[in-house]
Amino acid sequence: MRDFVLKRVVAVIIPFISLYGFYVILHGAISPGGSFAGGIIVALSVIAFATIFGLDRAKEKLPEKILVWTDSYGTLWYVLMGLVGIVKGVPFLSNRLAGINLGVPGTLSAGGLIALIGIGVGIRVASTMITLFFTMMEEEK
Amino acid sequence: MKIRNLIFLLIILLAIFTMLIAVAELPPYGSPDNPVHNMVTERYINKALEETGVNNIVTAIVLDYRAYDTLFETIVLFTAAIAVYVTLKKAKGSEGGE
Amino acid sequence: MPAVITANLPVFLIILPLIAAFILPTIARRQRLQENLLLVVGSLGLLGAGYLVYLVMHGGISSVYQMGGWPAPWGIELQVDNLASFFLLVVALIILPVFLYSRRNMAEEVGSREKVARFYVLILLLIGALAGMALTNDLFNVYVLVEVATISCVGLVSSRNHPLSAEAAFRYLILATFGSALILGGIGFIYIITGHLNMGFAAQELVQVWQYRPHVVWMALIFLLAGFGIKAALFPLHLWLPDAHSIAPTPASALLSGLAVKGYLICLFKFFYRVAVPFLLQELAIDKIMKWAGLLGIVLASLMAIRQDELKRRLAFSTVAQIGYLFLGASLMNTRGLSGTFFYLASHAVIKSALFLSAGMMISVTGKKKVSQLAGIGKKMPVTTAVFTIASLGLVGVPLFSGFVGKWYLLLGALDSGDFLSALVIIAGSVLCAAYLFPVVRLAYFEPAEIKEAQDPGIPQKLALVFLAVLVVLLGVMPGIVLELANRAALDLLTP
Repeated sequence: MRDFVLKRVVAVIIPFISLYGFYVILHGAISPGGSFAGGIIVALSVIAFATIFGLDRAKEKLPEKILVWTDSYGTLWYVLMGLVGIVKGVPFLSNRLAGINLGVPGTLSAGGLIALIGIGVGIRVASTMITLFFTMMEEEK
Repeated sequence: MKIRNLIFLLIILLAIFTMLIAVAELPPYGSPDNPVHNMVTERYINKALEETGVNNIVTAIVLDYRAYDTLFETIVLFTAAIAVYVTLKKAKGSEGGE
Repeated sequence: MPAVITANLPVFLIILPLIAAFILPTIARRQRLQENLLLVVGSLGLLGAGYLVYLVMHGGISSVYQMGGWPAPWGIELQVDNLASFFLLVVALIILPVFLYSRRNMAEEVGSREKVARFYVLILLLIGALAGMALTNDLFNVYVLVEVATISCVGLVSSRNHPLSAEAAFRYLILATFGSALILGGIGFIYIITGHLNMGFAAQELVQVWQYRPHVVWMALIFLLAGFGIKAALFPLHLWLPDAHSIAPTPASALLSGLAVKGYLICLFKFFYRVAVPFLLQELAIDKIMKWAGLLGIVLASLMAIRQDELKRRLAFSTVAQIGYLFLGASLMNTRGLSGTFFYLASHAVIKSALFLSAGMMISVTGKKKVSQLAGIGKKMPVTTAVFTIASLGLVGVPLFSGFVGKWYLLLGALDSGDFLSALVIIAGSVLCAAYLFPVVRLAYFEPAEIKEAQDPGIPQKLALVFLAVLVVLLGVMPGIVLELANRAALDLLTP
């Protein structure tokens, strides 16, 4: 784990992995991929950091409290987006029916609530993967 | 032990045989007149862009037509994280023993 | 009540426990707040389920709820009918006492505060999944809900602060995952030959295509029976249950035995009666498999229960036997048999939660796990033992207690279809049930006390136990509305 080359390479590469993950999450509506795949890519960047630099430094960067919050409120966000429909007087999880502007197809805003839900799901998937990895690493020690 | 293994082998062979019979009856793979190519897929393919504003039909199905399933799929992940936490986090004073 | 709430009541009942589950981990350190939140969820759930029953009985709510406004074959719909409202009412009736019982009572069995909070989260997620199962009308949705329920059940079993809990949970996880795979396979077979995921549409197609592909349909139904059979502990597939249910923390045992297995059963009944028609089940001899598994389960699991000396294991084996009754009733394919099954499902849910909660209370107060060590506890813990006795009488099927009504209808159903063997086994099962429960009661009341210091639990726990005992008696004396709902649900399922 004390390999100089690995540390340098990972330090350079991690921001790009993260960025690519967020790219995949945001472009779920217009290209292959989506929030599940993107979330896992984001999580992979953190997992790579934790395997190379150690669990303690990873936990310094990303404290457990933040993970608990993203874990919980990521899914709550999905339910809240669903409640938008009920507030507007149409069924749960409605999108076009709720009078949401569907945006221009092919751009990032396409799909109205789909884009917003996708971001929530992406963050949620990432934080679950990181939580699972951290908990299991702790068990190893 | 030997006889037990033989019985298991027979059961497994029987299961494989029945499953092969069932699989042989399935509609041919990729054929255009399969039952799955019905009005459901037709509407997804023809109207997804208009009805959801999304080019990626998979995303349209996952996050709009069948968004309720996806809600529970994210909850599956949430449940898994919580269950792993409950299983692996040791309570103070009860180390070891598993 | 505002129209928004009335129209969206089914959705609110599903997302209410889920929202609470998402909030709980962030307030993991504030125990009092958590417990009050749980009580609020439980009471609101009971109110909502009661109101839903009222609406369904008086036709005040549309029977189909389209998620996202997409009509049936394209989107997912909820079916708000008698069966759904019936099962929601059962769930709501059980969770309120379970929440009351777990007030200020969990740290010993589960561990630190963070873990207790997660334990509550798993319970809430399980309830959300069960509410979803009651209402869903979509094949793939069933699978997703089954996954949520399975993982939370495994988590509940492994949350016990006990060396053996991880092992029991692991065995449960392996078998339950295998069951999930079978269920997914069955759903896949049905989808590939019908082209629909909506139950109603799939049923229409299945009636037409089953003649051309009988083996596929047979395979799909066998996969579903085996998959749900593993999860609901159908007799030869029950191997995981005694360990898992006896090792779980007490409120979790009550929920797992009382509700979780029933949720899978409700799903199985939806597949068998709503997707496949009863005629098809008889044609493919599925009902015979169900009947024999049920008969064997009643007799053999009861005999195994008699041999157990550990109280919670004895109750767990008893659950396997009672599940046998439910499968037997469902295989009779007539209205009285099926409505008896539903009523028995409700009554067993109430009784088994009462039994597990009172037994768990005796065990945690005295520290003694075995039946023979609990002699004379009736004098030290009068309320707990009284509740245990009432629930035992109910499970045996003594008149004026809830088990009697269910068994009576099952018996009538068996006689309606001229099945004297089943009728005989139903009666014999009661005798066996008395043989494994009454010794506990006899030891508790009529033997000299071995236990020095033991007393009844605090007020919330007492309230919870008494609530369940009152339910057992109420369901037996005036089954009224629950029986009516069960009748209607059975009629709905049997008349296509």
